[in-house]
Amino acid sequence: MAKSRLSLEDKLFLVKTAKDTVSHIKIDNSICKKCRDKLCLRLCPAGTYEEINGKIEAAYENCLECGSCRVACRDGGIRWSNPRGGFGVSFSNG
Amino acid sequence: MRQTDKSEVIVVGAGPSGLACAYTLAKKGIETIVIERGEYPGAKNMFGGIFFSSIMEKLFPSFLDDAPWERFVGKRKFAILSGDSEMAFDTKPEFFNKPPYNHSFIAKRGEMDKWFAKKVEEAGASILTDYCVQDFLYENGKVVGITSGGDDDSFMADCVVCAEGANSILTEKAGLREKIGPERRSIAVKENIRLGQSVIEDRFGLTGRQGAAYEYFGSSVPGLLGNGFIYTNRDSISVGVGFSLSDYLEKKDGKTPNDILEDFKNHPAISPLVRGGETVEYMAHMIPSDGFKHLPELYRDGLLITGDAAGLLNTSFFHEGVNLAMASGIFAAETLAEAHEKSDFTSETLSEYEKKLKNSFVIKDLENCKNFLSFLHDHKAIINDYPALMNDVVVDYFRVSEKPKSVVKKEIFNRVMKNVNITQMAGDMWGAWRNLV
Repeated sequence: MAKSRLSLEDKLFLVKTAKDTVSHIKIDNSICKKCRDKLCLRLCPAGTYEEINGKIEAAYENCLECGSCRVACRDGGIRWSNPRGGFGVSFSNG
Repeated sequence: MRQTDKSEVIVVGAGPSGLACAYTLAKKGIETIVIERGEYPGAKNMFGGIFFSSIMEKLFPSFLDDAPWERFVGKRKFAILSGDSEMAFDTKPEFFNKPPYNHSFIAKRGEMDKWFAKKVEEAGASILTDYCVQDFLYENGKVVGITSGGDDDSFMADCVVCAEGANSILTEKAGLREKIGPERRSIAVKENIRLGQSVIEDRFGLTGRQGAAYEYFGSSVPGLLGNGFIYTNRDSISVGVGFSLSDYLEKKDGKTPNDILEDFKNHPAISPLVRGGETVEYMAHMIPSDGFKHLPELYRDGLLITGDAAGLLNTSFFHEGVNLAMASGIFAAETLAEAHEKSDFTSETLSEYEKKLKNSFVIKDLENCKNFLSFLHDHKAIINDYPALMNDVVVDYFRVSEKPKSVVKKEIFNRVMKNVNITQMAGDMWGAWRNLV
């Protein structure tokens, strides 16, 4: 049977988000540099984290605000706070 | 906002526990403001899909007629997926299908929380949206207000109720718990898929406002503690997977949460149910798995913690969250009413809150399932090997052939003996009965 898989990109396109100009996710790459697991790269349901030229970068505007990365990042490379009031996701069907 | 803005109580978060707390306080004539970071109550919230409404119905006897629920849960299915197979227990008792519908309703938080918030406002509390609390304000160690981070942007109160939800940043900042790690949370991802009302009713065998709640164990979340689910809304379905974060991080097979959801949707047992649907929304949220043994401190001078932020979620098969959250909000409000009377918001007075929780189903149920997750974590055979074996046995038993049934029975017996250590399985089953049920 042909498998129909919706890409993550397509799904993120459906999420209603008010984009802030400043990121609510701060990355301390001096910590990430030493992190072997880099769990954030596969854990994030929105694929927010990417490793570019050896540095972790966060496409914070895609964040679904679940906070899993904050919980999973034991060394503190990710400093995650809630987006400012008026910004971030607005779910209708939660 | 100016420093002078003051209310008797500030509730942080307009979810079920925060709103239940504010409603109860407002009814008692205590000046209350609910502060919500979302654009509207429910905008940042997600749950599986079943609203357990027994507490809500006590607050609003007209819940059944007034509240924006999607469908009542008339039909439940518990299935085990294994490879491409499904084995299921399906139940549609009359009891589920007449008022009060076993107090179980499929709902969307965006709708339900908004409705609830309106009731809270009608009762006299104020609700401020689009305001994100970044920290509490202290005076001599007592919480006296909240701030969004700006110097002149704060609110003062006699007491603050923290109903911030599963991502319990403020609770950690206040030192009521250590930074939560992956063993304390599960993650759920979910899609809302539009199918149309008549397709849903035909496909799931439903009539009128009747709804279906299907839960899938086994390989729905391969090798992980968790499950997949489908809940029917009016004209759409909620399809998702939830699993333990620590399990997921240990597994390291490179699959993302979205991959796991897509695999689930493409399982032969699931794909006919989602076929032809249009995905409307994609969401993610954490679920507390603190359990009885790892609850945070629930109060300090001028502060109470309720709902998911306090880890008050039944982590067993019951998956109850909303009603525990609401009960905790109401207990917080009752405690605050007593504190208000005495004008004493010290931790000594507020400790009454913990007593109320302990004497209620909230903590009793958490205690009852205190070993649930750790037992399954240490006995993975129960979620991996036994379901697969059970499936094989059923397949062999019903396989049509000219082989005499006596030979089939013997082969099945041999297969079971070869694959499991009977003493260990008996021990696992006894443990399962004691720890899981």
